[in-house]
Amino acid sequence: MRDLLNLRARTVLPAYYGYVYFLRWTGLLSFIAAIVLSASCVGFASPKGWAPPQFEDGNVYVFLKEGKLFALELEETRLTEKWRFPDKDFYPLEEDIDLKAVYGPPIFVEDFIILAAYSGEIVKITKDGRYEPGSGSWILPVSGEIVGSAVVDSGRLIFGTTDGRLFVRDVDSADGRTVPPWPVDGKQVGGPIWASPLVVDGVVIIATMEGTVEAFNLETGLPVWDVPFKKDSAIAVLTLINENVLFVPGLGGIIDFVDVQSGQSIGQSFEAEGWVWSEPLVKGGVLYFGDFAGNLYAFDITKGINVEKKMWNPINVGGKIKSTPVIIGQTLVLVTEDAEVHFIDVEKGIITRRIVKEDTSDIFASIVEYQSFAWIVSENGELFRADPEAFNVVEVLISKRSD
Amino acid sequence: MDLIGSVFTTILLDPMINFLVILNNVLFNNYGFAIIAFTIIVRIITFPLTLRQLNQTRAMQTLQPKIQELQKRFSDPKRRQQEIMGAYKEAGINPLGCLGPMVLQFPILIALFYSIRQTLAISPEALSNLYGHIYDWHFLEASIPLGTDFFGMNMSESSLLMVVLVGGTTWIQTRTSQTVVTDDRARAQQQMMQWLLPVMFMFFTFSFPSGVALYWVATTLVSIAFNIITYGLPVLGIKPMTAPPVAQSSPLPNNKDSSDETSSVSGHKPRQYSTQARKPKDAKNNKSKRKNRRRSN
Repeated sequence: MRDLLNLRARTVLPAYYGYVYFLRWTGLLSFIAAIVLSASCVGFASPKGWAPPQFEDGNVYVFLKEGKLFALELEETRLTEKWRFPDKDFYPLEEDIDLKAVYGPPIFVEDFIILAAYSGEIVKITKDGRYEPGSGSWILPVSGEIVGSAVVDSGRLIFGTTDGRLFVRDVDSADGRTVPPWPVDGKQVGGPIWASPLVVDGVVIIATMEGTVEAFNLETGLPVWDVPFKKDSAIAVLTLINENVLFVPGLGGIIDFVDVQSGQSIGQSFEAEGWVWSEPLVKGGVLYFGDFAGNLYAFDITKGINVEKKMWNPINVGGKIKSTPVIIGQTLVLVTEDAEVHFIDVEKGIITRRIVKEDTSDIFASIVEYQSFAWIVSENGELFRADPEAFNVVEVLISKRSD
Repeated sequence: MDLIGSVFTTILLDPMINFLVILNNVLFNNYGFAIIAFTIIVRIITFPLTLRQLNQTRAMQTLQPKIQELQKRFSDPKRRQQEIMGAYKEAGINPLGCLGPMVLQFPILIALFYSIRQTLAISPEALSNLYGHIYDWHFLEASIPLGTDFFGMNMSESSLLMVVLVGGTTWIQTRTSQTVVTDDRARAQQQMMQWLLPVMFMFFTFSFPSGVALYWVATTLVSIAFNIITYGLPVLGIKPMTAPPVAQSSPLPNNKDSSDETSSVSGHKPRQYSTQARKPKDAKNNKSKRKNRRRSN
């Protein structure tokens, strides 16, 4: 080895010592180059968004690129671009709009569409996808990022931010002004808000990444529960699974069921094998949800919450489950993060068919049912249509304007 | 490639990520403190490798006047190389030896960098990716995501203060690692690096989360300390705290060229090149001699 090194030294060693210094710094630069080159292996995951597609008036509204909403006209198996927002090429007013990423579906309010963006902006655009100040459009920059979606209830737009603030704005006003007595800068809560807020009978319920669930009266802004619900792991999603019970999963995998009226835990907790970071599906009195360890769970909740009442043993599909499944007929359609689509017989609890979509980017967005098909969108904007009767998955062709 | 990635992740990256989370929990749930402590600990563990690298460089510095002398003395490139190699061998130096420890440290430093970047979870997707790296221990999972506030600075975003700190510390590091060179080209390179590197790193820092920049500042400060221990800091009158790695090499023989074989610095028996003693500037003469020989033939 030494001889080999010496031989190498004889052949490549520069004639003077100063080059050793040069070699040292070359080594340092190689280190940086190695970091840059290996970035693709480890993956830093810049924000891309995981908003599910939305179907409205025969159109599909979907984020096909980071922070860019596309309206597509659906004609059988073909989609044609109608417009995109923001569209810097054709609309100078939209030049400075950069939503970065959007994690919640667009909200349709009369003639407008509302988008809650990771850039920390709430944007209200016209239904034909334009930002037109003076015609009711506005952009509200807030502190922090918005990861969950916003909700609209009784003319109020409610959303939380990653810097732990809860905002309540007047959705119909010309400038999206704050609704008193809610603070203009948002109400500080117990931690960063990633989960979409819920509104139940005039009460806003939010979950934080510090593991708290808090409830506020929408009109007065005052706390409703005596004490917030608290668990020791971050809560990234919050769902109402029946009229009284909140589904509160933690990133550690422990799921609590919380009473909406009191904020107290109901029954016993359930410990999933992996993190639970998707909204559950409730259909026919059965609660379905997946975890990051690849398990799909099903509980009968017709007679209250009882984690012992399993419909069937958990089904392991072998990949991270981030997307909420759908049930069409007797088939549950589930997709893993690495784009494996599973058709599951809900009666028997068995996988009927498994289809792997090769060379597809990660799938985080929830599946949406439309016209008896399951619609799946990937991180890079590939759109798939799964047919639970034919057990096939096809990529839908999109005719869009090239950039 | 996948296998290398898996080994790298299992052996280096995952343990580092989990250790970083443990440090965060121990150090008052302050991720900034965890990054600093983690960097210092890893650099101390790899200190033997760093020291070896620094000592090799220092040894070469000690030998440099002799190498310069040999370069001036021998005009024949082959012979010059042979003599230089001999000098290195006599002093117990492998000229590329300083690169070995550096190469060994690469995977560790890359894993250190990645572990910080991963745990920062700068986006929801990044936090989701972290799942595959965190061990299934409630103590660890309960602290995810880690807080990114460090004295009012959001470590998941770039910060101008960190850009300045990265530039400043990198400049000091290049200063403390610069060795005395007599060669003009090497000196010019040193001068260039002294300014180029800080500017380059400042440029990178603009696009990196400040948590990664904090790691860079911490690791650079540790490097500065190691440099001072090894090389000293003449400006402040600080002498090296470690003993020189090799004994001072023997002086060069007095005879101009090595017709006297036994006096060669390498101690090897050099090949016979000519019975005539060559002078340093005899390269041109040799060429013309060869030409003349060809003509006469």
